[in-house]
Amino acid sequence: MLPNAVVSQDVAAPASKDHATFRELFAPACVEARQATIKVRRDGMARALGTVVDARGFAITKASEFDGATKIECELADGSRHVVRAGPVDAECDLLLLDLRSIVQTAKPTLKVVRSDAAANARGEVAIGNFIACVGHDPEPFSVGVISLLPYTRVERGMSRARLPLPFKEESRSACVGRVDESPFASTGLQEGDVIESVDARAVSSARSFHRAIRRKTPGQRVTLEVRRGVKLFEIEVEVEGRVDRSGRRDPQQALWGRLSQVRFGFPEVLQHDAVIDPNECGGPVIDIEGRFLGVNIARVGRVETHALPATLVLERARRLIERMTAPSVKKDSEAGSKSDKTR
Amino acid sequence: MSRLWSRSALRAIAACLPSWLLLALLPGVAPRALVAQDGRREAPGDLAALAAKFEVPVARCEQILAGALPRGRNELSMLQARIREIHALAARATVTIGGAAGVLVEGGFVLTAGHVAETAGRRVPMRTSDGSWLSGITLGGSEETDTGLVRVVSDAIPESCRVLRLRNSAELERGAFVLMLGFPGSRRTEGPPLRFGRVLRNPARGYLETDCRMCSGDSGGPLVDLTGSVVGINSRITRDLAKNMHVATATYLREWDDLVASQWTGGRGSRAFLGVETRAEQDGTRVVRVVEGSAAERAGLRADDLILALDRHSLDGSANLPSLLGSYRPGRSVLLRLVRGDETLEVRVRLGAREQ
Repeated sequence: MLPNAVVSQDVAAPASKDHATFRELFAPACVEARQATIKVRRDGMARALGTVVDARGFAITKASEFDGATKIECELADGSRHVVRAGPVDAECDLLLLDLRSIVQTAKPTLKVVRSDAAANARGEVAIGNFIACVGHDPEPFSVGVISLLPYTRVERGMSRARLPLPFKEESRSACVGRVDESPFASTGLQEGDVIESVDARAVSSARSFHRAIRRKTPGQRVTLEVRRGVKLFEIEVEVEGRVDRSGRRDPQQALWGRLSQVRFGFPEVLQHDAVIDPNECGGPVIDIEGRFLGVNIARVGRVETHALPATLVLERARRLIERMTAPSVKKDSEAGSKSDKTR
Repeated sequence: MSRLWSRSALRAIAACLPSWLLLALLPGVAPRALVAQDGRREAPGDLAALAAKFEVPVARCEQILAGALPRGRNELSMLQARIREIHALAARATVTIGGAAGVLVEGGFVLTAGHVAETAGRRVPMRTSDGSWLSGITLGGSEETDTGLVRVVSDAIPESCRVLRLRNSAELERGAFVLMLGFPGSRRTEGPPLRFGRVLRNPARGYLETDCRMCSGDSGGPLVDLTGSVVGINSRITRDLAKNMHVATATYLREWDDLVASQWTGGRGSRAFLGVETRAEQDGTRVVRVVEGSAAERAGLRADDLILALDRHSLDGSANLPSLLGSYRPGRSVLLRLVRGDETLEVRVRLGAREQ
């Protein structure tokens, strides 16, 4: 046993891994990625970060932070702010495409594309224990950590899943409400035959898409339903329920989790790391110590975990969104496509 | 503060062994196969190899592993490579115990938290990193320091498992880089999740504090330094994300003889049991479920009751029911004040024991 071990702690506080002295070690890796990072504001409020994924001037950010936003503004690494156009949404990945083409055309030299590197994302390269850095606009990353688990398909924890068990008419193709008079929804003012048009301004076309929209919410959250009754269109507000907590395990500790993202479940694939971020810091790039793009932070999920969408998934989905935006005449094939186009 | 156990941890651990068998397992009677595994105690990879690969002097490598900040890309890469090595080792020494964790260490022992082991002389099934099962029996522990020790009684530890060395945590400097392995038992993932951090406080006595984030289920999992040795066991968390408490190995070493002799201190593992699953709410504690055959059911508690107070202790969010119950002995009678519908009731409950 070293005699000085216990004494040393009174001399100088050693930096935590979150302290700037440690984060600064990653500054060289961030040089490029910073230029590909944008801060995205909704009505003046910083709600997320964004990642420039295409040289023509397309970026992606976390869609749910901008549900129903009227004005989206992005701030580049040089501090300049620009109002941008919102593109289509990938609902499954919770990604929103932002159109920055006008900024690129005015030749902003500070805007770069995140450096994707197929080799960096190959199997075996991405390993548990690799450092990751969450890039913002500062020279050093705003948070660092290690990869906790390799990309895996996220399965919702039963209790965390939001639901709203509205009775729907089975025979109807639209989200047509069935008998509610004896259900807990009688007090909401809904009547049999009402058609739910949207959930928080996201259009729904069937009972299935309604439930899917609700699943992305958080138990306890209030959502606005747009309801059509005959020719009348009105809105009601209801609280999203949570599935019954079967384990009894997570809930009592929720106070110990810190601030979490509202939409944090249901992604097709996630990379789990242990860097702590604020829910408003999702959407930005995650890089390795070489500065290579590994993914985009998509949700703060718990006390111990942040989830990032792996780079390959992000780039593939972004490519599809860009296609949809640049070729609007193409017939919308997917349900997600028509959904998001109605809202934007 | 909140302990990191989960209910399933308590349930999964069931049968007690008769005491004669316990005696047979006391020191000196090491189970057969555990001798063989000493050859596999597995030191991590050679530091010299890493030093050469990243062109960092060995002495400098040692400094960094002990907490000196790396300078430049090579040193950072060296640190990263070391983290990967140690993780590969530690992940294969981490076992699932019920809804929590433990770690295989030298001598055929598993270190875990006291609140995971619960009591002495209990048989515990443990799932290893390769998915096979080991049988263990809890030895000593302490409710005060949260130490817990399990002896492996299975004939053999699977080839793929690793056994870690124990290092006295008093040797750790503040700022030392450490790895923490969490609950490995989840079906959706492979192996225990890794979290990285540094030693923030290392008092001579008491908990080792790091910024390796933990959550429920991580209890009993190892805190490992970059020499690949266990230096702590996950115990509890606070509201502060950067305040994560591990039982220091210094505490285990201090209590070692008692632990091996199956001495259980503090409560002797007999915790009072009310038999409700609850959820903390603003004004009280909401009953989510009443366990069949429990004291709560006998007293007529129902799901959805809102418990306002237990004896004189109000449960308005600041106090929590499980920890309050921890200070009661089985058999004690307590008065619960609760709201059911529009009524406020007072119910007297005679507490049961955790093991029924």
